[in-house]
Amino acid sequence: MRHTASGSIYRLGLALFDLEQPEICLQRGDSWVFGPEEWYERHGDVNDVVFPCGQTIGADGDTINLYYGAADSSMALATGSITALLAWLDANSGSDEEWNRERGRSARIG
Amino acid sequence: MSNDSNTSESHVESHTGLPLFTRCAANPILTQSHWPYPINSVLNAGVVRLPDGDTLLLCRVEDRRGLSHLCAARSANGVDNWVIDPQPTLAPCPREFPEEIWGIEDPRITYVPELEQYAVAYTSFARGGPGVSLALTRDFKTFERYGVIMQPEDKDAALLPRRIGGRWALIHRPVTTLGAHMWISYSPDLRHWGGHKIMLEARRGGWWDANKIGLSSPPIETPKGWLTI
Repeated sequence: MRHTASGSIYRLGLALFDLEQPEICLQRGDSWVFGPEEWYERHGDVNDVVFPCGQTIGADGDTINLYYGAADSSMALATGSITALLAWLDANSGSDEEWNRERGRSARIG
Repeated sequence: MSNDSNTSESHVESHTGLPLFTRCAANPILTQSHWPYPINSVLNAGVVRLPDGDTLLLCRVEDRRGLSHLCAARSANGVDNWVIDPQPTLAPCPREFPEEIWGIEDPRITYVPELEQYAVAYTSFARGGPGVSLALTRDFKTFERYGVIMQPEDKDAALLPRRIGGRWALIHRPVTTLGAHMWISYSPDLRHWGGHKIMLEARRGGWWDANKIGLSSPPIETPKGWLTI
C-alpha cells in the first residue's frame, strides 16, 4: 500500500514462497501488477482500492479468475494466467538491492 | 455509466506482451443494487468453486448501520445471474463472540481436503481493534466458529489447504508501530498457534509496497511454490 498526500492507494503485487517452508520468499515482484484504473475502482466509499480476497482456477488449471472489491463499494472480476504470472515474476524480481543484501546476510548467518 | 465497449486491460504486460489481468466487461459484477435486502455496499468477497461447478462469493456486506456481515452469492458462470442468500449467511454473533460487536469482514476461504470442510478466515472487529477469527463449514449454511485465533491488531489471514511439516499454517498480517508485514504461524489443531515467523516485510521509502503489505487472495499452490498476490 502506498501513502500519498491524498490518501492511500491499494495495489496488487506478486510473490512466490517455498512449498514446504512457506516463510521463505523465493521471488518478490519489483513493481505492482494491478491497480485502480476504472471508475468503479477509483471512486466509492474508499477511493482507489482494488482488494481481492479470493479466486477460482479454470478447468484448464491455468486461468485465474480473480474477484476483488472495488473502492470498498462493489465486486469486480479480472482474469489472468498462472503461467504468465510466474513468468512475469521470473522477469521482474530481484532489483531491490537492499532486500537482496539482507537475504544474502541472513543466508550466511543461517 | 460502465465502460460498455470492451474489456479493460491492465497496463502491466506479461512476457508475451499481453496484459497480465483483463477486467471483465460486466464489471462491476455485484453492487448494492443486486441485494435482496437494504445494504450500503458489497465488497471483498471470499471465493470458492463448489462441487456442482457454481462459483460462490462469500461477500462482505456493509449494512446501513455501517457494520459488516457475510452473505453468499452463487452463480453458474461466475459472472452474472447471481443467486444471493435472502438474509445474512454469517452474521456477527456478539453475545457469544464479543470480538464481533462491530462486525465481521474480508473472508478468505480455503478448502481443506483432510477435513472435507471449508475454512473461512475473517476479520472480527470490536473495541480491541480488528483480529482474525476462523470458522469451518461444509455447506455455507451452518458454520463452526473457532473464535479469535489471532488477537488484534491483525487481519488479512488465510489458511493453507494442507499441513506443512505436520502443522496447519496461517498467513496473517499483524500491525506494530514499525509497520504491517506478512507473518505465518503454525498450529497442531487450528486453535493454538505458535512458531510465528515473518514471511514478507513491507519495504520502506518510495517503494510501491512501502509501510503496509498484506495477503490478498489465498496462495495458489504451483510446482514452483506458493504463488501469492
